[in-house]
Amino acid sequence: MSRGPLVSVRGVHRSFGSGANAVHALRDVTFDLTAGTMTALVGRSGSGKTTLLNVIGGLDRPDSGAVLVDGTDVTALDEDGLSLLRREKVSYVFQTFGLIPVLSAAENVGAPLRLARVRPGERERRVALLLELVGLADHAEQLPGELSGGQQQRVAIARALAASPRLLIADEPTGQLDAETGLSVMALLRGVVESEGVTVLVSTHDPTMLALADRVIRINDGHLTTEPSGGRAGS
Amino acid sequence: MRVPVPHWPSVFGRARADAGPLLLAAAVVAAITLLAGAVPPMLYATADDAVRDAIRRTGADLRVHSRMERDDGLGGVRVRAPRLAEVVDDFRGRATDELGPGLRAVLHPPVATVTSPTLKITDGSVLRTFQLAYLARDGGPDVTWIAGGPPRPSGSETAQMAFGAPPWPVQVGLSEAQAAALRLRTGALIPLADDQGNVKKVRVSGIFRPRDSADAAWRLLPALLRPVPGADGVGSTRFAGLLSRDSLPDARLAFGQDELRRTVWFTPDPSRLTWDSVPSIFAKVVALKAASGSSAARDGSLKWETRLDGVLRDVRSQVGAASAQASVLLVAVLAAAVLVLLLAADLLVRRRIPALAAARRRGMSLPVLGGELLLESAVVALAAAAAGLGLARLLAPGVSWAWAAPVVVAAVAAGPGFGTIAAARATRDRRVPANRNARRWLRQTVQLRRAVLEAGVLVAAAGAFVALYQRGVGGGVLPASAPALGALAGALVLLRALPVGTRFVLDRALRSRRPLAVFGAARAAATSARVLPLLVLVTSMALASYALTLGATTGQGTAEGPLATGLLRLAWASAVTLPVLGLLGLALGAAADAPQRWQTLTRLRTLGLRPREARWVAAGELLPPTAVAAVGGPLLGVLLARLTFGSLSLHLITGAEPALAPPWWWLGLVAVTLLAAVAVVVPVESVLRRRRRLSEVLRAGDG
Repeated sequence: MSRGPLVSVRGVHRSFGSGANAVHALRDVTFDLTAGTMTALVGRSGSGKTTLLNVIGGLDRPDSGAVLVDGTDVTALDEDGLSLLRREKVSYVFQTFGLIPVLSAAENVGAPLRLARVRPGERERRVALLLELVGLADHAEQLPGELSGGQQQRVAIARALAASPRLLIADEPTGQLDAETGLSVMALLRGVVESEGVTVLVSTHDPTMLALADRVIRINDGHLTTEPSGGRAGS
Repeated sequence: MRVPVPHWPSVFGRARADAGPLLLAAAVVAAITLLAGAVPPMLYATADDAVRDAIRRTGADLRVHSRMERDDGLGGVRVRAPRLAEVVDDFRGRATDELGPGLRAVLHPPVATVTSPTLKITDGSVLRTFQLAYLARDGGPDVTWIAGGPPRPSGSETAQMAFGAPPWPVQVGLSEAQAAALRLRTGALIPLADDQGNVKKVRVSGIFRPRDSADAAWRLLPALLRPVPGADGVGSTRFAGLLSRDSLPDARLAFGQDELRRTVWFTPDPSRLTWDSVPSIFAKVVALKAASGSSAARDGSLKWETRLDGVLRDVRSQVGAASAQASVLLVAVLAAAVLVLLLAADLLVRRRIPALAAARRRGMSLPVLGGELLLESAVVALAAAAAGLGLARLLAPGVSWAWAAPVVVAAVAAGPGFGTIAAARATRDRRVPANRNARRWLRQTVQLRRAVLEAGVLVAAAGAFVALYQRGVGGGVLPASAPALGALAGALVLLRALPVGTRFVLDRALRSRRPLAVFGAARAAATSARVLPLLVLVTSMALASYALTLGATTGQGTAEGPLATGLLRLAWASAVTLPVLGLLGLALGAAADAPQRWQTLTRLRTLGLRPREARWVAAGELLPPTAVAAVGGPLLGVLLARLTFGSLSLHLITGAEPALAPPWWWLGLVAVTLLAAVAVVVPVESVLRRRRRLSEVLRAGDG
């Protein structure tokens, strides 16, 4: 089945600082992400991966260029518009999990649904489903501090999926996990692409994770050094 | 051994980076040292004024009497004593010598008086009485004779008066007012008789005018200058005639052996009295009265009479009570200030943890690191304290550094102490144990350590209250600390209750459909165990309410008095200072937790939380401890007032035991102000952090 681009990045520049001290994190970056695929963003530390993810997700604004997510120009949105975008279309998974420590795993997963004013019964069903999906149904009432790193990241993924986003951005989601747990988290992301139809853009250092991606985008010093290739698509 | 040398670029760099918190701590130190440095000397000066005022108001003269020596001659006659005035002078000198130098130094020159019994003027008109009186003092009081002259002797120097002889004549001078009222002229005989109807032969030698009618000596016998309404309740008028040195021997013979009363009057000079001189003067007066001869004794022993000891005892009690009450207020302000400084140090160290940890990783030893921090805090605190004390010296008659010491010590030591501990923890090898039992044991150890500290505060508070009840507030620092320690103990109880309360609120919020309530309550629950912010808020609010209640209670029953006014001023100054410290505590506590708060809010923003919703969540986090302090603080303050006011001896200042009068409107205003401050802190934080992009916050992991 032919699928159109969910994300279109066009000529994006982003620099930090000014004059001679300016650091050009992104230089004329252009690419598309096809809906319902998993794309790995690969590059050394400082290559611009996180900046690119932030610009696509509306956490940062480019100096120039455009980013369209599901037809919406992210760069043209105000703060409320960006909040709505994040509430309805884009979600994140961070290296440090970003869970709320005094809320249980279930409540953490349900947080986006609360923001979306989903009714309690529907919210509980959705949370139970997601915890089942990430294999933590038995840990629903545990606090994040009582979970292992891998389990916390699974909760974070479940939370990211809660509001049924079109795009899931994951920045080094396995950075704080051991190799085996990291692989299982990546496998989980691969699984939600298959099961939920979500588009996933994930940055990683780990070459062993790349095999799970449909595409691999390499970035070096703010430039996309290779056209989208590799991963499952290229294998 | 090599002496460790501070790394000056690091020292200056840290100070530059954290200039704000350092200046804030300096401002607190300066303000509190100003208050603590100025109040004791001002209280001292007030005590001086109180002593002087009490003496002025009561006119507590020191009087000494002695019977006149008998003038019996051979054959049942009485012999005129021509040198009687000199005998009176000797008596005055003897009494003066007995005073001792300390007491003598604060008294006006003595005035000797010899007074006759009260006679009746027998002119058949309204009831009028008359008294013959002799006044003697070195250098006055002087009179000018406007008619006639001073009283002259009635007989030869060595005249004798036989038993049963007719009344011995005696001359007196009359003031202008007396003569006019009695319609008497020079040479006239004043129609007088004693209680038994014995006629007295008293003649007017002349009419005089006092050189200085305001001379204090006339105060002893005002009837010498003008007719004085009698105090007998029947509407009589008192008159008196002035005896001279020459006519005094005649007056002696005109009355019975023991009828003339010889007295030396010592009037305290209030301007020479100081609070310092009170104990020695009091002791001397008590000794004089103890050694005083019996009034029934027929010898020439000195019989001392005075209310001076009583007046001094009262004023000592009043000043002692006022000092103790001032101590209570000062301890309260100092306790709150020390807590604020600890909170400021905590904020400073939280900001510096990455830099301190980096310094340790570069190889800097803990003693050197601690030394650098100590150097910085000592310079800041001592300079601020010097400024505060210097200002105190300008505003007050002196300066006291003793009360300022706890604040300076806290300002100097807290930062380096917290910083060194934080640096050690940040770089030590110990990790959280993987074993669940080991983790539980570690957790319990921390809880036990905290419980021991809390128990220590509770025991100290209980001890202070026991000391207050047993010894009264003047019993030293411990009883004076009772309200402050009580506030601290109450704050600890509320600190234990707050997590339970926030957890309860969170549970209720989770059942609600309001997401902001859930996130606010979640943040509140996460930070509810933070010790210092709540301690500062509750303690300062409780002690502010205590000071307000003290001011209102004292004010409602206070007559004018320097002491009462001074205490009221201190109470109001404390009532202003303490809420300011509370607001400062709120701002510092908010700033200390701000990085974690805005990190969480940023994470929630990635889930779709709007910026204005984030402010509501932040307010939801700050409101529970603030509300606990706003409500619990005033109630705790009033409770402490109820528990301690009975032992503060307020009646010594107000004149009667005042009823507890909490100023509820003011307490409410202070509470509302604290709550309203949250509405200021949150937008300010939001504006300060709006400049940072979400991506920066998430990347840096620090708001």
